[in-house]
Amino acid sequence: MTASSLGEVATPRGGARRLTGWCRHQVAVAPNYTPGPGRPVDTGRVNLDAAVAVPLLAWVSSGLAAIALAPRNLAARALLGAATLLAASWFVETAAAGVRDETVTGALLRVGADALFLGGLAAAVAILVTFPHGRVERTWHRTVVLVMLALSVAGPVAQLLGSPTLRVGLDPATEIRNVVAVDGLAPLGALGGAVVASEQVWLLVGVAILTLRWGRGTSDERAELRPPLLSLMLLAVLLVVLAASSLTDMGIAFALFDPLFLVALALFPVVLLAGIARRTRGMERELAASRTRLIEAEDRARRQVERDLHDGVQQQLVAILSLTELAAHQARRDGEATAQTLSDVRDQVRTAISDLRELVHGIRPPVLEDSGVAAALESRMTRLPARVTLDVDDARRHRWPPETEAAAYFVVCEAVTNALKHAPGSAVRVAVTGDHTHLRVQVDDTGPGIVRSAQQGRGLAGLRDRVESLGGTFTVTGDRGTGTAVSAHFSLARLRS
Amino acid sequence: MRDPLRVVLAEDNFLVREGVRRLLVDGAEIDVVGDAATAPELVQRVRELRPDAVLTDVRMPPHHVMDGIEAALLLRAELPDTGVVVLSQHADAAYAQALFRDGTGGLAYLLKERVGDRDELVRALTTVAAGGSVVDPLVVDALVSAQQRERSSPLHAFTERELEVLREMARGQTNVAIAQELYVSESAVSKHVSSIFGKLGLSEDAGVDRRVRAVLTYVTHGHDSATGRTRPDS
Repeated sequence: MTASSLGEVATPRGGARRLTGWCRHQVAVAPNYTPGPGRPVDTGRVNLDAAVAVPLLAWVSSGLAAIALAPRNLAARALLGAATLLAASWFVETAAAGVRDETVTGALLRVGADALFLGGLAAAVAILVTFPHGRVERTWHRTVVLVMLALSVAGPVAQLLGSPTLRVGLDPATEIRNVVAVDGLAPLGALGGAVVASEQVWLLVGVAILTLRWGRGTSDERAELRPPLLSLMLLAVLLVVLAASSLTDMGIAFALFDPLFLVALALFPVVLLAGIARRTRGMERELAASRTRLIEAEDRARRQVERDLHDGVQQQLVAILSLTELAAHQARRDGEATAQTLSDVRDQVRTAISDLRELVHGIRPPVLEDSGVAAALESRMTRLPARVTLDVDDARRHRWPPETEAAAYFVVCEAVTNALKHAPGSAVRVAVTGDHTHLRVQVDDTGPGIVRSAQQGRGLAGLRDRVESLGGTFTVTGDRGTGTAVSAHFSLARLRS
Repeated sequence: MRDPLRVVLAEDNFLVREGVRRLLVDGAEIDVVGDAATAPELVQRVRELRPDAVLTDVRMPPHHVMDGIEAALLLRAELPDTGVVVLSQHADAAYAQALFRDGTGGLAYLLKERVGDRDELVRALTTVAAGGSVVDPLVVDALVSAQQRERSSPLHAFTERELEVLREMARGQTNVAIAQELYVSESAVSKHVSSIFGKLGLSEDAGVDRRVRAVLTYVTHGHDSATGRTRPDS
């Protein structure tokens, strides 16, 4: 296979190269890459290469399957978005390669293909940022994706306005004069060109973020992120081999590894789909388990209330009743004994009233409903040792939905109880912050860190279920020696949805 | 005057136990000879002291379920001369059915609020000590309504007044007492009693204890056992 025949093979697959950005670049800059005059004359028809169709179809069908499986998952949406944009860029590119006239159409097709391709890359980065749960873990991850999306439009538009010439991708053979360019905007065009040429770096940024997430993740999260990372590594190795073989004129190696690369490229979205599917099933299982736990917790709570009432107030009333009957019996003959019995009755009624008040407070303090979570916690603090401090900030001036306030209140009560029990002597700081958009409660102690006893584990799981069932997030941090921080955060925007 | 009735008291709540003890001993007819806070302790005390009657709570340590009822059945089987009054906060039929599953003699099932009526308590203790039975009217209601769930039950055919009389009979009241309680004549009560026994298909019995037993057995176990046949599950 000669250098020019390699060019012949490579050129119609411009789209496939574009799929990677990187590979295209490597091949395009290969010294022996000569599109040359032998190149088939474009007819303007869309030339669907079967070999490129394989990864494209894999991407699009994986994207569709992911959306069908988890329609609200951002990673699934990004997968379908990336697949659609990359496929569209391939079609537009093929069409652009067929338009060699220096027309507005030729120019628009060229920058359009660039914009679609860059958008596809930004979506691919969005997948790597949100895979597999569909959440953006860090604000800067979101910023990176949004900047890429903005650049994917701004770069090509700048080129269209400023560049004197335009190509299909980086292929010099497809260069035409840009009839749209405005004189004097050449620097802008150069800037746009630089943005478009930076595309190889985009995917690397995505891979870097994925690697960072893997490095920071728990062992469970690492297990989830490992398949796409390995898959990306395979792609990288194949790319290097391909680039090396095209650089060193090893046509046979290229012919061998090119299909392998396409297969690996087709496998990548399938790996992503599998990860999203596993995650979705896991979430469904977790949802069912959490529902069961909530029901069990409610059952336990009811049993506790029944027991407290039965053994408490009900018995006190029985005792009081026996004493009133005794007093009535005594009154027939012994006034002094009657007075003594009645004073016992009074004492027991007082005890019963105060016990009942405590019990009601434990079930659901009325002040929570009447005056809000801040006031309820302030009232709760009066029953706790001084080493528990409360900082309610401006939260006192706001109210939230009753179930949110109740969840926040019980998170604090349980966490403080845990801290008092497991971190003896440690200072316990309760903080309530929030406004009309969110509510956050946090309990920090300076104790020995999380001790995962079974009972405490159940208590924490119960709180987590309660918070998450309201769309909030519940976190427990802290290791041995650093103290424990328990927090619950409720976003009202999410509550409404 | 008769010797005072020797009673052992079982109740895990200290305030209730002391309140009931003070109430019972405020009079010459009862002598509380011992007390217990758990079911095993009660059985032990009764074995030691051989009292005439026991007054026990249903829910007690160690299991906090029907410990008092289990202890009552054990004691009745072991010491037939000791009557047992079970005090309970539950008006559900299931508890009374559990207590009366082997028969009603020497057993009483009262709601805890009866500690507000010393005479009733003393009467129940005296009745069970003599081998009789007493059931709280509210519990009779629960038993009756449980029976009425069975579609074939003759209790459907009872008038309101007959149910009232049935309830009083289950309390162990004589016709005279029932007549006073319901503000009707004694002959009217006799007529209701005949009608009740007729509807239940039982032969009328003059003895109050035996008639309580018949009624209780009926409302506890249903028609078959009341007419002498035992049901396979009872």
